Amino acid sequence: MDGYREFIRSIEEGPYELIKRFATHLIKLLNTEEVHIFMYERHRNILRLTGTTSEELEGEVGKLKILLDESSRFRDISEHEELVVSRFELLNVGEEAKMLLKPIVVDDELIGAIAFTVSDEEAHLPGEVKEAVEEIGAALKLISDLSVLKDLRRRLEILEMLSLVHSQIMEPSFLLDATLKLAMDALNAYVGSIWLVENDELVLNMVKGLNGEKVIKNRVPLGYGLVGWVALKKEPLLSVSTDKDERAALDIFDMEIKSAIAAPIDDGENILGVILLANRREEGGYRPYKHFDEFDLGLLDDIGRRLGVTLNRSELYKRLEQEVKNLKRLEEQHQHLIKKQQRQLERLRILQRVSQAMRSSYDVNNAYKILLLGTVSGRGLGFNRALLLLRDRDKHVLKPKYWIGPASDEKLSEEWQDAHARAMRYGDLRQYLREEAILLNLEVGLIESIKDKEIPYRGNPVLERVVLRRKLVHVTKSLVESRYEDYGFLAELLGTEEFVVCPLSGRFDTLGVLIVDNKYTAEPFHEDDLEILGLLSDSAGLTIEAIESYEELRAKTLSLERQKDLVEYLRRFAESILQNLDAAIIVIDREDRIKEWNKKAEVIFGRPREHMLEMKLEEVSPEFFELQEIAGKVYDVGETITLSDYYMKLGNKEMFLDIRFSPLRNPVLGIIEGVIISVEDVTKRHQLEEELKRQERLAILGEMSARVAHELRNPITVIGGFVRRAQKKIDDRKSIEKYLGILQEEIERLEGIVAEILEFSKEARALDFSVFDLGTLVEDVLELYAQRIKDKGIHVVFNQPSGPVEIEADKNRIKQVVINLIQNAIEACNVGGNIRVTVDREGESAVFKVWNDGTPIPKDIMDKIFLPFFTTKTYGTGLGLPICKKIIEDEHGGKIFVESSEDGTIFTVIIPKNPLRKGE
Amino acid sequence: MAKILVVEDEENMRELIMEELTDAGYEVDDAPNAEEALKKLESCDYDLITVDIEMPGMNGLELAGKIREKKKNAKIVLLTAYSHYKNDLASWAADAYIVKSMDFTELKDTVERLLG
Repeated sequence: MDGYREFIRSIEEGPYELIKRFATHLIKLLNTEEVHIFMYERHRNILRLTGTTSEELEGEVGKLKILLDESSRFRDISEHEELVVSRFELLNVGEEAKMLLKPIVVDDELIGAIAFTVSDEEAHLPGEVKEAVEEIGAALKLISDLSVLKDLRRRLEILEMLSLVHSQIMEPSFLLDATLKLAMDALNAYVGSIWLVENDELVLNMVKGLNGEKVIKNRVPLGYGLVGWVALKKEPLLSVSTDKDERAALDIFDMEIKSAIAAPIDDGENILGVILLANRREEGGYRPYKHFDEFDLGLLDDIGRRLGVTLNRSELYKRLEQEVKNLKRLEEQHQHLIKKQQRQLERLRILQRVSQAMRSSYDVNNAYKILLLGTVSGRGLGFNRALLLLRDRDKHVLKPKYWIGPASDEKLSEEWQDAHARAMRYGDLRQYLREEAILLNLEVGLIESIKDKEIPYRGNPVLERVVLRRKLVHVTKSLVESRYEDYGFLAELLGTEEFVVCPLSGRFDTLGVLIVDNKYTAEPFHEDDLEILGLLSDSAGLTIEAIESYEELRAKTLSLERQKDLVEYLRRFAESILQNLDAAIIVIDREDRIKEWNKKAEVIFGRPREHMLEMKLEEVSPEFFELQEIAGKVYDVGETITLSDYYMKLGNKEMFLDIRFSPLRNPVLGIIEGVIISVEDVTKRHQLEEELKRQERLAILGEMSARVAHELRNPITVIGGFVRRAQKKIDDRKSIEKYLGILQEEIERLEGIVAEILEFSKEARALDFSVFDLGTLVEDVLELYAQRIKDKGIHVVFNQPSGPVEIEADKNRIKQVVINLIQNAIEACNVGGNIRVTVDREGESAVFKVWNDGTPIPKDIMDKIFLPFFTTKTYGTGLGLPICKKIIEDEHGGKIFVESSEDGTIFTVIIPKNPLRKGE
Repeated sequence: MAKILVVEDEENMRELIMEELTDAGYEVDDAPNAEEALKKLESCDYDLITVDIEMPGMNGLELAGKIREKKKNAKIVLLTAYSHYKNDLASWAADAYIVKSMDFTELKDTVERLLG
């Protein structure tokens, strides 16, 4: 051994040379024919020939292997026991020479084995050999550990690379590509491929390392073959020989697969795909086994899982990126909106200024000018042109009023600059609008040609919609083209094909129309423009209305001032009427205080107005106390109370007054707030009436006396005449007897008359009330007159009541009435006439009627027939009906009356069931 | 002998008048009402007719009018218990108007004058 450093170098150069040197060294010590050194490969449980002194076996170094499994002849080696075997057994070559196979164990771990030729079975190993073997063991262990370390370092490097790749690359296809390259590189694979899960299949995503070979299958179901199994089980799989493991079916490439490893691409939750490496490439350094081993598989598994996580992360990242993009887009939109809103806000502010400027003007025309200037001014809303049409409600037309816009198309920018410069001279927009508007002449330009035009809005779909339905209409080029008949007229008038027609809306009605366009800048109208114009026209409409109502108010105020004089006049007029009324008017309030006392009241009551106002009626004098009490009742009954011929004595003055107490209503509060007492002095009328009554009474008395005189005169004449004749013929006995008979008759007649007069004039007499049937009474009376009725050939019908009609009355007095009426009827009837007598009950009263078809009673007589001593008969006192009236009405509280017409004359008597008992 | 018709509804009065006129030497006939009177006038001529004004049915004034139409030469004397008809006499075609009295002197004088 030439030192440690050399040793390390030799290991790095390749272990076989070193191990050969050990063998050579050992053969000297042992003094034997040949020495072979094996290294133990734990993964596969084999001993592999790594050094030999035999030239014959030189070519087998690194290839020859001895299986140590259960069935092996050499299995005891695993138990660290030495064996004596034949050379052929061991090496498959040469003769049957005996060889000792001695395990090399370091720290109780099988590292390898030494085989050397022995002469006999009890070969004894000298101490030096033991020592040498131990050294070889240590060296082999070093070689083995070093290769493990190398592998670990590589693995670290690869993982580091992988981490780097995975941290740098996010794009999945690049990521897959880089990972596959790295894996193939790290694991020395000829062929590498990545399969990704799509539904229930694995689809070949990429393949590297094919050298003219073809892909037979580029998609396999989950569970199919090596790739499918790995995907299904989510476990890595090492396949050394496709013959030994059916899971290893690898019929996907048109090539021989010597070994393959596959690992799931797994993000820890889901299987995304499979990474597959096939056929290992040879490499430098100690690599006991040339196919993929467990170590490679572990590494690939690691790579697969890392790839899975990275892919997942990449997916997340992609999504995050998308989210960020979305957010950015949203933010941009938001910014845009904010800008738009700021602009709109600014325009709203302008709109407010325009409105304020309009409102500060009390002249409607000026307000309109401000509106137009505000619409087109650069400091205002900045539209190009504006046309104002006012509505004539009666004619249903729009009349052009004002127009604003550049005077000539050529000097457009010049004009605008000029206007802008003027506008900027003012600090305040409102001031600018107010002052500039007054100077503007808006009756030139476009308006000149249409000034006297009247544009009917009815029938025009655009204007009708604007004026009648108060909608804003945005007319565009396409609208004009598609519906020229509706929009063409306005387009031609304005000379542009895009414009907005806005209603000037008042609270209830459209005042006019504002048409705005951008003829020169050709700026299309956007939603926010329409919004602003809508607000503008609405607020302008209301403002105009306010100005108009202000003007109206001013006019009304003027006329009210004029009316004030008239009201004053009317008040004086009413006052004068009140004072000069022929009736006294006293008004008292709810506290009974006198509020009015007109001139006539002064005259009637002899008290001056100024003393009476605010006094209470009862305080005036005791005579008024009753009036105040009655006035108080008006509040309760709520209606006028009337007193007729109210007697009042004030001092020596006696008066008869007609007084009306009327409620004084407050129409607003709906209450009675006082009483109007109107007093008419009817003393004179009263006196006249009294005089008239007296005279009437006298006249009746006179007539009565004459009738009485007449009634008395006839019998007295007859008596006187016969008495005189008796004196002459005193001796003529026969004549005297005749005369005496006549005298007797006439005197009896006189007695009857006197009795009747007495009867009538008697004030009251005791009545004899009893209950009796009126029907029976009438029947009795008719019986009494049966002969007279028969004599005159009168036909009498008596309508009998269904049952007794009992009344409580003085039977004799009622009988007198019945007799009187039936007698009158018989007398009134012509020969062969008709009488109908009825007795019935009407409610609580008994009714007795006598009808006859005799000559009707003339109207003038009918009025008098119940008056005493009135008669059409030549005999009788004329007291019959007055006595009837007295009996029925005065004594029994009933009613008697007569009706007469061509159909006959009917007397009706109504007697209450329980008459008022007069005279008891 | 002059013939007189007395029209009077009241029997005792009629009797009295008839007796007075008979005593005065006239031929006297009577009727209790206007209708009877008109009947009698159809069959018989009278030189003078006394008519009571107040009668039921056709009154004396009416009757007088009818008699005047038929008998132009007959004298008519109206009798009444009242005095207030006097003023209206001119309008009625009667020759005299007498208020009844107990002695009938005025009646007899008038009849004599009218027939004489």
